[in-house]
Amino acid sequence: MRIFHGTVEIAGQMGILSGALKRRGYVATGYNTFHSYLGYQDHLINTIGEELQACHEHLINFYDVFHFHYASSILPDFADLPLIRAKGKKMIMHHWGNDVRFHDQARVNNPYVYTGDSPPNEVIDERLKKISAYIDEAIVQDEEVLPYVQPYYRKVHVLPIAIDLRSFEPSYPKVNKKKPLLLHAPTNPDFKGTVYIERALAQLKQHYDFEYRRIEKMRHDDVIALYRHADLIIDQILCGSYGLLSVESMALGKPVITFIRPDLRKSFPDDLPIVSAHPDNIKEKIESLLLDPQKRKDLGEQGRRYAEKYHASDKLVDKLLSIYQA
Amino acid sequence: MASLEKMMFFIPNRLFVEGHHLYVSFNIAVIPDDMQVTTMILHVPLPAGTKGGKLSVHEIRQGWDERLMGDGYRPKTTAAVKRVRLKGKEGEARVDLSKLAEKWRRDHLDNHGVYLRLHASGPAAFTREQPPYVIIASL
Repeated sequence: MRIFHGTVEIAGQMGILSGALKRRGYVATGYNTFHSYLGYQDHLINTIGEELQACHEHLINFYDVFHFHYASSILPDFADLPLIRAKGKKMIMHHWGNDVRFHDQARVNNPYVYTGDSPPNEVIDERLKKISAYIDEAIVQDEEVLPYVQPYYRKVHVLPIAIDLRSFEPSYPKVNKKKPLLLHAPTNPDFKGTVYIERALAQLKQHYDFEYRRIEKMRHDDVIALYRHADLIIDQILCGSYGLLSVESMALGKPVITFIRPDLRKSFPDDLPIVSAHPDNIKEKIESLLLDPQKRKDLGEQGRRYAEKYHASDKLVDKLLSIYQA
Repeated sequence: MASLEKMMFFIPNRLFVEGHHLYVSFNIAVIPDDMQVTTMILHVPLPAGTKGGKLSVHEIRQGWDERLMGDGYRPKTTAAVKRVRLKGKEGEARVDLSKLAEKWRRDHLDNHGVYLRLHASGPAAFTREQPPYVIIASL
């Protein structure tokens, strides 16, 4: 089976999934036309839209399964979808959040959410209608994204974010460290709630001795190297669910603060060790972990086990293959 | 199945087929600079019913595109740089093009690809529906 991933690399997932499929002996390639300072390149062909469009016929002839990401496809206005469908080839659309997060719907259960990166509602609706006219099945990472797309598809699968654990040797926080290091890496500060996090940290700094580092505009590989030294990682406190940074942090054995919407908590496994915090209680949540180094270490160990159990790409690929072959 | 983790797959960026003749090129300039290519193998799906014969491989020496070829243009090619003997009932031929990899990668403006000629009896023809592809192993 030959598997096409394209055309927008979000959170390294096209490359990670392609790598896991290749380890199983499948021909898989991620074609990425979205280039950022994060510098993803594993199992990817970093290209441009025009180049993909020029060889769309060969792509469609060569690959057996088309796994699209972030409401993208090969040709403008999804003109490739009927061509692929006419050949009877499997297509899946993988939605990641900002591509489908309807602004008003997102606020129903979450007063904190930032949706400034999402297109207008009518654009999202139009895209989903065009896509689902030809694609029957979608994938989302969790039940935060699920309700936005569920009305459009015949079936929506939940496949958690995948990581290649071989790249994440755990490094648990030390309980005797005098000055803990807190990290926050906002790819988009508005989305992650950076202003609330840094306001809380500024207040805490008056009473506690810790080091804070904000990581921005760095290649993903370099960021991971920095995470290894962290004692606490603060991810996103507005969205209501956790993303790649939280998963990577857990894989590294770090305690993580992220906002998990209360109504979604039950949709995640019971052993999720993320400390949930939102703008109204972020200061108290950070403070409690500053005061308890043993808890930081325990959460780090639990996080590693959680990442191994639920986010290892070599396990998730079984479910992915079953989606492809259904 | 064996792991393909260290492999990269490339499909044609240009392809023209006509009977037993096939012109193809691959853009491999996108391979990251810090990777070292160790092998580049061209996989050529053979026309249905191909039994025996040879496949000759020629470098293409001039620029071309699919539309020009449709209008009858044919670029100059070298003498055969490879000849592959085809055994019966094989679905595809494999041609080691590792010696061309660095040139295609570093000097992509002069990468015009290869011309393949099937020397076999019978009416079977190459098709666009089964494009050739290259598998590149890298470190």
